[in-house]
Amino acid sequence: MAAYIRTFVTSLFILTLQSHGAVVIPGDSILPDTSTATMIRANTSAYTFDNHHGPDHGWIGFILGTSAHNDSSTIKYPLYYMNEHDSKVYPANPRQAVIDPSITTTAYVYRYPLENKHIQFVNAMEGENAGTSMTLRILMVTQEEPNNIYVSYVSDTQQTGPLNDAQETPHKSQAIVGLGASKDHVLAAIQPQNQPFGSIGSGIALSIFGKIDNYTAFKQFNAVDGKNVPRAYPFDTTSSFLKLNGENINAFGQHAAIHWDPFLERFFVGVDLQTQHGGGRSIVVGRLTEKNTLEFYPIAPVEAFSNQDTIIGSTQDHVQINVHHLRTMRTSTNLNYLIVHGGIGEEKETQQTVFALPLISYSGQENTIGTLANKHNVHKTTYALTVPAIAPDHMAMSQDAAAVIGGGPVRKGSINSIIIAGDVVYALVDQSTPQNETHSVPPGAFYSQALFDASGMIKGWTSWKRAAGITQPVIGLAHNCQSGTISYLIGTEQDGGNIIKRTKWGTDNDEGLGQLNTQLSKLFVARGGVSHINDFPHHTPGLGNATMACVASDSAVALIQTGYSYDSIKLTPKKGSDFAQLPHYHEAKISIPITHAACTLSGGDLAKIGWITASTIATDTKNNAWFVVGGINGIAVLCDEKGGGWNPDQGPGDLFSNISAGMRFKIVDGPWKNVRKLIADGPLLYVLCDNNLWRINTQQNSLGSKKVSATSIATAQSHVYEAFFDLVVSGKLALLASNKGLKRTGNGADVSQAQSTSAMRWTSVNLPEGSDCIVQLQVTSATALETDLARGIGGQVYVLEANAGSHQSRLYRLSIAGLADNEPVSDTTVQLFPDMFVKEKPTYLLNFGQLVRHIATDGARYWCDLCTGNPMRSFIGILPNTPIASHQNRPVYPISICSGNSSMVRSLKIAPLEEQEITQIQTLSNITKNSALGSWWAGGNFGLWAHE
Amino acid sequence: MIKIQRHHKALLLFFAIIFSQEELGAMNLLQPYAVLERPFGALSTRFRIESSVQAGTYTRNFDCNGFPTNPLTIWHQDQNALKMLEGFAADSPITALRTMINATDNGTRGHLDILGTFDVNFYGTISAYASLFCNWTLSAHLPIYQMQLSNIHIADKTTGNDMESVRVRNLLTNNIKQNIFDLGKQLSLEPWKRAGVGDTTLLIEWSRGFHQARPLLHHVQLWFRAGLSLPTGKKTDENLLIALPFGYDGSVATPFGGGLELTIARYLHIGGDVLLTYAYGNTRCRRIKTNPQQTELFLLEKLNAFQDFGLTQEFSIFGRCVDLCIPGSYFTIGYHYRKHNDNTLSLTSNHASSEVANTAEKLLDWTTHQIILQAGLAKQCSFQKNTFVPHVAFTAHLPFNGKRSITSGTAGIILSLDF
Repeated sequence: MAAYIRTFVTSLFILTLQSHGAVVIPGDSILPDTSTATMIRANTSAYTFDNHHGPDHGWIGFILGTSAHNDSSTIKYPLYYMNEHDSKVYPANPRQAVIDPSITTTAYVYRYPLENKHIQFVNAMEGENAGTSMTLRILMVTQEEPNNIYVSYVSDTQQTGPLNDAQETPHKSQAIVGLGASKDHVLAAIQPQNQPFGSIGSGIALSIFGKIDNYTAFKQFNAVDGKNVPRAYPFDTTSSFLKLNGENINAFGQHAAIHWDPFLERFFVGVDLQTQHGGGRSIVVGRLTEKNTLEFYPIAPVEAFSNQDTIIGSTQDHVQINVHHLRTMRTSTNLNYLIVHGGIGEEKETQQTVFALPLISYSGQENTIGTLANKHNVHKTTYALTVPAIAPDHMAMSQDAAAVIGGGPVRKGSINSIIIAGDVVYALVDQSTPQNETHSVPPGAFYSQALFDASGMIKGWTSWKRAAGITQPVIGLAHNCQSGTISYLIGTEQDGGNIIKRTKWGTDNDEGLGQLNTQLSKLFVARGGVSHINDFPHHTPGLGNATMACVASDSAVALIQTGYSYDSIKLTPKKGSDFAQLPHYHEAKISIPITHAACTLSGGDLAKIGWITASTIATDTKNNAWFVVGGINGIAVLCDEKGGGWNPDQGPGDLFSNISAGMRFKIVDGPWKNVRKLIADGPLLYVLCDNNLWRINTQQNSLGSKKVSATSIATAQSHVYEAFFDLVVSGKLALLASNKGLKRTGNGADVSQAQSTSAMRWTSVNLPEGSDCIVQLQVTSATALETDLARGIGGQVYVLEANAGSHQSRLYRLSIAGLADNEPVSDTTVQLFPDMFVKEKPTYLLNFGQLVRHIATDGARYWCDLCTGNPMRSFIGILPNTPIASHQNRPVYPISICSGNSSMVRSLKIAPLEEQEITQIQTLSNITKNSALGSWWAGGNFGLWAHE
Repeated sequence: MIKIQRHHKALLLFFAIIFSQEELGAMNLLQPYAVLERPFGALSTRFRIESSVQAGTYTRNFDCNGFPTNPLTIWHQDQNALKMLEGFAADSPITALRTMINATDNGTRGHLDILGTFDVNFYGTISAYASLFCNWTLSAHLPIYQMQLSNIHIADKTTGNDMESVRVRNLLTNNIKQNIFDLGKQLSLEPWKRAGVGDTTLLIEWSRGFHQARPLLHHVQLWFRAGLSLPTGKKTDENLLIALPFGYDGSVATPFGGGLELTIARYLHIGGDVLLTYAYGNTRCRRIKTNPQQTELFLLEKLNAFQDFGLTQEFSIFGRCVDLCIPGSYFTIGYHYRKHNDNTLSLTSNHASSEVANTAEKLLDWTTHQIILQAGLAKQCSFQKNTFVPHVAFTAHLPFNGKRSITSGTAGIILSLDF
């Protein structure tokens, strides 16, 4: 009790503070003390919608069940929900209308069947209008009645009564160990009386909510044969769809993960199991028959399994196969994947791993849909995988880059939940992980984005990165597809959650980047605003264990250490008071050691450059690493008097400890003007100006020397007003964006070796249906380094075409193949995604229908610089990304960002901001993610804002 | 009982032609034979030749709200160089430049103030009349113009020091004249001077007077007329700023209308006239908008377009004192109002949108208001049994209001000879 009171008091204190960046969602005014969600111990009962629909399509962000009460005034509220419209948490006490037995005439009275009860599970029936107020049906299982399901809807509450088990002569079950629901059907994994889950009698109970004899009813059905006596479908260690070679499964874990996929219209049920002899499968696929019965079938045939680690099954004896959570993903390439949190191994080991398995989404046979697809399936012209996995080499393995989300374990602690949004998987962690004696990696939400090959199949995943600036233990996350905001429930799996926060744009998050942004905004707004933001992620060559960011303005630059890895593996982000001090250096010279996480420099040679528009970390790979900036009038490098930088292996050190006093920015003489981008790849520094592309070999030309020689490898044709806008370089491959189209390194050419423009054999990349005005290339690679785009498994590029003359913009996607050292650039290196409106005619992904000059996406959210109005100015735009579900084989949410969806043209929105903030924005420089903290940064005339 | 008076035939003819119009863009100089510019008097012989010479005295220009403004700002207060680059094909150099600039129009960025001085240096007419039969008269009129645009001053309003403004200045506005010349198919922002003849007008009139045996009203003169304007005049020079046409921009036009004049007592005449002019549309290469927000002086696209002219409506009222001091002398004061309805464009190709092209401000209606003063003397002479009637008159145009129009005050002399 004392702990609860402490939590309560602490939470109330937090709630009385001004909101900081991420807004604390308060309670309502009716019950100010009890509606703040502070008394809620959510445990496993917090329910969030994957791909939350947002205010336009619904208003429920979270549903929280109370599993413990600490105050008599709250005990009657078993349920809390977060309302997206007014951003409050409300208590709820579902009521039930019953006929009053004391009155002879028909009259209803209300009673509150869940009052004083404790919620064990909470769930919701998802369908066409999941999350909307009128059709939302909340499912609850209480600790007091563990075998009974309540459903609460707009006007009433119903219950199934005690569910029957799966024995031929059904008995009352002991408890529910897993819950899942479709629009009208509820599946519950049940444990028989006095027996563990998995023993004979265990099963999957089917309950249906609907009209029966003109009355709304909620009751259990006979899931086996539809007969009158309610009975669960047998689901135990003897079930054939789990066994592989005849012998029964040894034992189940005592929970089941049940997930309904509205597009495939299939249930997936997963259990932890231990095999005996012959192995087993941990997941089965289920469907509802026309007779309102269940049919389960194997996720893959016996022949597909071997003694290798196929994630969800193995023929090996005595192995542990875990399924902690199950979700499905409908990718932006319109393919379906099963997302499995778990794997083969000890439970603790599998708590950090998440896998993606391709699913059959179209087949002439009902019992093939939802089963595993052949991982070599080539999807070119249809938005479906159709070839099943029937042999071991068809199966996704735990070593496959395409299957391992995040490229491996999350390494930040055990995952307590996974959330799907767009092409992104979020993993929630509620424990910090120690790095050394003084530092630890804080918990939070981490994400990984799918990378696609030219056929639209997943070929890999980005490494786990922190999301949304969350550095607190989090056990629930709702991704609002309409506004781009993320609401998260702070708490631990053990103690439950008690505070919900929501991200927003601003500078006032003192726990995140607020202090830094406020100081930089003040400094840079006086100079005209922020002109450039660049993030240097973990493992950037030359940075050692540090991560950095650069924010620039007119003749001034801020060096920011965004994080540091004290164990060389895990990254601890810098935040809050780390940025309390922001030393400023005049004459662009570091006069005394920095010893802080950020500093600013101005004047000196930076004043000669003017507006700074580009930055990079260059290294000669041997002795020196330099920080280089470029602007309107040239480039400058941070170096000491002798031209030396810092040691590239050690990096700048924690709090820039390796950057010595006396270093200053020095102009690098050369023909560069109007620098658009700087890229360092190995010892080569590429300088993209608006009319020329130069390459500097830093091993032959020390950047710190007064003059360097450079090789021109592309020249714009001035007579047709050609101008270069963006550049991507990775090994031999270069992509060059200009207002005369997108060009790539020609077949057989090598950007790192070419000695002239002609030697590059620049080759146009055909972008059908668009203009040639390519203004931005956004790279997604597995390591988050742009220069790894064409290495390893390759990556993908978002290509923004923006025709200011017609106020039109389109977004294309390119799949980039990884090139081996001796592999030349060829026609298959750069390929357009199969984004099609007409069969076999790949084209753009999105047509914005208006002018968008910049985009930034992590696969879940699409921010953009939306230019509109008269006079025209910039807004932070957000593309709603509501998932597609199906209803009678047709999509019912038509604003999903996916291949072939033309309706996106109508849905671009201005991101929710305060009126005062909206009027502040005139121009945007760019939107970039702080890879260490996961916050988005936006810069412009208003200064620097973060979305966290 | 109304009776016709023979000597009024000439008077009828006179009034029949005074409102024959020349469409000179949005200007007030469209009436080479305006009633108040002509010497008063009947065509008492078979023929008349006439000539007038006028010089501009001042210009007054009016914007869309009727406020006085500079001649280069009658359509827009400033010119938008960024919008100028919009609406072109994706692969055109203009779009490439627009993309290269990569700046938004924030209300000042890319905007330029352009001011200039517009003068009508010379305005003259040559006319000839022949009296036919039964109150019918045939006449021909040829105007001559010389006008100029000078003192062009361009001021860049892109004042910000932000990156977008810097790009706008560096890539566009610092060298706006050359950029517009190169991109706009030789559109020049330089001063110009133009001279030449206008459209020739042929008129046939019917006029008849009706004597009134009343104490106050002595006489009523009625007239009706129709004619044909032939496109002999200079057309709009699409490569110069506000180089208005000396006529109907290459089109044939049909003026038609009528009026009446009342003789009150002996010395006072009052009258009114209505003239409607319908110009037949024509197709020629014109500057058109490619973006609705473009401004009129910075139109880079030239395409063949059919222009359907709006109807020109003119209304005049006047009063005149005759023979007050000297026989044959008169003094006239009149008010003249002109309204030209909207023109419309139909493009002859799909390279641009007719809908966008028709958002041009210069296609919208325009009006002028002016006072016209005239004082003159006519004297009948005989030589070798032939009768001659020389006329001399001094005239002045005093424009005072309008909408989307350039008006020029003029003063000059009119000479004619009846023989």
